[in-house]
This record gives sequence, C-alpha cells and structure tokens, in this order.
Amino acid sequence: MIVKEFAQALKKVPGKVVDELRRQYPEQKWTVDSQVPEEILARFQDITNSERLQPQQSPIANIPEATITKADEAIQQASYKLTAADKETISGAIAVQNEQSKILGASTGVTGALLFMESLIGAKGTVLDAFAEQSMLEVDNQITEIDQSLINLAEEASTRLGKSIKKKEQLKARLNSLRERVSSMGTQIRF
Amino acid sequence: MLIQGSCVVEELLTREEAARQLEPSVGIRQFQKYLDLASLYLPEFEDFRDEDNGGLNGRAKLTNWHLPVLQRIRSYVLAKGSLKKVAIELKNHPEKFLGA
Repeated sequence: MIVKEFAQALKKVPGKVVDELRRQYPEQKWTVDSQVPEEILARFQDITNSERLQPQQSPIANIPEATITKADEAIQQASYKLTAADKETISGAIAVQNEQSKILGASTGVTGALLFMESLIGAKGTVLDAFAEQSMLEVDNQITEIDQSLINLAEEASTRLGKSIKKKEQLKARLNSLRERVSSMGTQIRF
Repeated sequence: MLIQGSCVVEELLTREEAARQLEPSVGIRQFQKYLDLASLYLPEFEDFRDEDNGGLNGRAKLTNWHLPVLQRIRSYVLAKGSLKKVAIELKNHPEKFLGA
C-alpha cells in the first residue's frame, strides 16, 4: 500500500502522513507514492483492512462502518480523557487534603506547645512556691533554733556565773577560817 | 545607574535575505530544504509547517532569531555532506541545533 492510499484509508491528508513518516524515518526519502512500512500498516490494520477487503462496495456503504469506528474512537478517547481528568481531580483533592493535614498538624502542634508551656509554667510556679514556702519554714525554724540556743547559752552562762560566785564566797569563808585558826595557834604557842 | 550590554532587535527577513545571510550563503531552494528539516524536527520551527496539508507553510514569518539554528544546519550539511544525515541528527539530537 502506498502513502496516498494509506492516507485515504485513514481519512488524512497525504502531505501530513508524509510529514509523519519523515519524522519517524529520517533516513528514508518519502513521497506520496512511497510504500508504507509493514509495521505502520500493522498498527493500523483494522482500518486499512476494511478498506482493502471491500474495494468494490460503493463509498456510501463504507460510511456507517467508518462512523462506527470513529464513534468507537471518540468513546475511547472520551473515556481516556475522563480517566485522565478524574486522575487529575483525585490528585488535586489529595494535594488539598495533604495541605489541610499539614495546616491542621501545624495548628495542633502550636496548640499543644502552648498547652505544654502553660502547664510547664504552672508547674514551675507551684514547685517554686512550694520550695519558697519550704525554705521560709526552714529559715523560721533556724531562727527559732538560734534564738533558743542563745537563750540556753545565756541561761547556762548565768548559772555558771552564779555557781562560781558561790564557790568564790565559800572559798573566801574557808580562807578566813584558816586565817583565824592560824592566828589563834600563834597566840597559844607564843614564839 | 548605567546598565551595559547589548540587545538584538527582532528583524523580519525574507527567505532570500536569510539565505544570503547564511555563511556560506545558499540559494533559495537549498534554504527551503533547511527550513523544511528544521520545521519537521524542531518544535521551535513548527510554525513553518503547514498544519492542514503538511509540507512547508509559506506564510510563517522568518526573523533574524531563526538564523542561528539554520546556520547550524547549514554548517552540519557542509561537514557531513548530506541532508539525510542532518535529518537523522535533527531527530536524534535536536538540542545540538538549539540553544545559545
């Protein structure tokens, strides 16, 4: 089959078919009278066969078949396009969902962080308060203890002082009695 | 502030003028063949293809911006000696003929 017939079977302009063949096979020279390669014919077998097997029939007889083929093709194309559009819509929806999840995640994160900080500060305050109270109590205790020790010390000191004064008095009295005895002995002996 | 540099102003060319500006210059028939190959394989030149009937579109406007690519094709033809080899190269490595 030559290019001219092939183009007719495909209902295409021969010039466009030549252009396409030149694009596919740049190493060959192509005209409308060139033989169409077998692999191209095989690809369009259905269409070209119907043309080849019924050459005697009037062109009108071919029309319904051709329209059916075209309609088939149209349905195929439409379904393909629909699938493609569907895919696009789905991927778009997924993208939107992803974005939404991202934003939701971010806002949840912020809320969580704020809550965490809030409770952290609260707990810190509580701990600090407790600590401060504890230390104040401790300081108070220390002060009382120191006071008590001071009082004890003073008491002890005064007791000791009293005791030593008493001892001093006793000592004085003993000394006096000793002196008296010595002087009385002197008068009795008379050197 | 002073901005230095140069710019190339787009300039419409007839096919004959463009053919004469190639280095070395070519005849109009040869030039049409280069344009034919460029429009067949390079998307940048698809305006020069006839959308309805195939073949070259005679009404597409040619400018000095198209010249560098056509010059590369011209040089390649000189180097390889055949349009067929240029066609194969254009199909397999179109980037060789494009770019700055």
